[in-house]
Amino acid sequence: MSHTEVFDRTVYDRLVAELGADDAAEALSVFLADTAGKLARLSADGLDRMTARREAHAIKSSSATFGFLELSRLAREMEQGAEQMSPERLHASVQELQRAFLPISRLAEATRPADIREFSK
Amino acid sequence: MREIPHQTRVSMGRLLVVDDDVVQRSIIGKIGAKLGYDTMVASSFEGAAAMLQGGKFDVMTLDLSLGEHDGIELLNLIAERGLHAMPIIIISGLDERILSTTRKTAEALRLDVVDSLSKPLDPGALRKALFLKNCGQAAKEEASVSPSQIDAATIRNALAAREISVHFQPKIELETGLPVSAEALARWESPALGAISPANFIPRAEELGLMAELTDHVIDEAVAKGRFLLEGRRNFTIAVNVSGSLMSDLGLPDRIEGILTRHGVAPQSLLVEVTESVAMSDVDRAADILLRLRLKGIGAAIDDFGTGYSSLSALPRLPFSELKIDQSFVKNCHSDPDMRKIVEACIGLGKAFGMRVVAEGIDNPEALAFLRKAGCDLGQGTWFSPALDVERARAWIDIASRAIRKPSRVA
Repeated sequence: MSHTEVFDRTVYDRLVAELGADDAAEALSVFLADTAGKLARLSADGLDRMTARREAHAIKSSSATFGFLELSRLAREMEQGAEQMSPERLHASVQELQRAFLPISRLAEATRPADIREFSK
Repeated sequence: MREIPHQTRVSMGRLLVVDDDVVQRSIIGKIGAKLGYDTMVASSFEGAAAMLQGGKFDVMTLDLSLGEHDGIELLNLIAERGLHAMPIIIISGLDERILSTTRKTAEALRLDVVDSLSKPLDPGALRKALFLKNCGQAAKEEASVSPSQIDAATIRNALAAREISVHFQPKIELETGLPVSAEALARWESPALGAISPANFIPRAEELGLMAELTDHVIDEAVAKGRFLLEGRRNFTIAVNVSGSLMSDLGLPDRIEGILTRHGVAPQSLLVEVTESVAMSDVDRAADILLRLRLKGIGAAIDDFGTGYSSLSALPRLPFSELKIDQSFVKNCHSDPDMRKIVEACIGLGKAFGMRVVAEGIDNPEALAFLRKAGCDLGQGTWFSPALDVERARAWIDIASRAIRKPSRVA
């Protein structure tokens, strides 16, 4: 898999062009915290398909907004296939998402912490 | 509930962002605040319904997926409450057909859907949608006034009361995307008659012999306010329209110089745009006036080029520094082979005479791509920005300049 299929830098650059570097970094830290929470919910015991589909749908769009194409692709596959997946397959899909998110989550150290609670109200 | 205040000097109004995704709310809210909106965010149908109950919004963005209640239910509620005038931008991560069907549904409810955007959200497209919404509103609010309602006394009184002011439309360097100039366009807000279109009052001023007074006033307004756009920008220019009928007014160059001196603005920061049709009618006199303006350092553009009474033999005798291709040729230059030939010929002609070539009336990305490829220097039109009051124009130019100049950094 080529590098751009994992992360398309030009997408993030466009966001920086619109928001400025600081606000783009702040939006990114909101994304990182929010996605970590979504993945935690997806990993919980007794995950139902509706929740899986809804969380995958959100991750699909938000990750693509920043250019994280691999994570977005995996989330799209999960959103589209969740209704037919066995619990084991669903679990494997969540693990794939977590693997793709791991290198992205390390970006958190490089960005300013944003107060996600403010946006969550 | 989260409120993000506007980040410009003045507020452009109130924006309601309805989206159940925290990341999208954050991004849309930030774009809204940068454009000058006081932004409120709602994460659910119930939250949005309560906010709509609590106050008036100037524009709303709506994500169709809202958890238990969907965006369609909210559109129904908005229609039930009679909020038909509120512009709505629909956003969805679902497929295009759902988006287009929703748009039709909203239109059937007589709601004002100004745009529909798919996810992942293109921040540039959202910014444009929020700006175009303003353009549409301005057009709707214009009063219908018959010429007989505008007599000489009405115009003179309006000038004295400073009811006639200017808005600015940015001109963009097509190669870099950088705003390099802004054209001042006259606006008349009459307390008695409402907003009067320049298409109505400028021909009346011509008929009534008031163009010199009106032009002096408009240039004074343009320089006084435009000074605010020039701050911190080298080589930025303010453009003003001068009627071709004044190309026989030998006192004009000195009057313009006087206005510049009074406001402490360098002559190089001003450009006068002269309509082709009349400018060409008395070539010797026009050449005299234009030459004196140029010798003072003021730029001169031939406006609406290609319409009216073109006389190619006059072109080399008139010292224009800029050629503006009329918008009637620009609008469909990407799809109409005849318009394409005219536009290419105008660009070639302008370059051959050492002029900077500007395309007016760019309102779609296809026309922009064609013009850029054809080597046109500058562009202007609603695809970039409508005419805005000076505060908003400054905010727009700041954002657009920062987007070009600021080096992106690794996240």
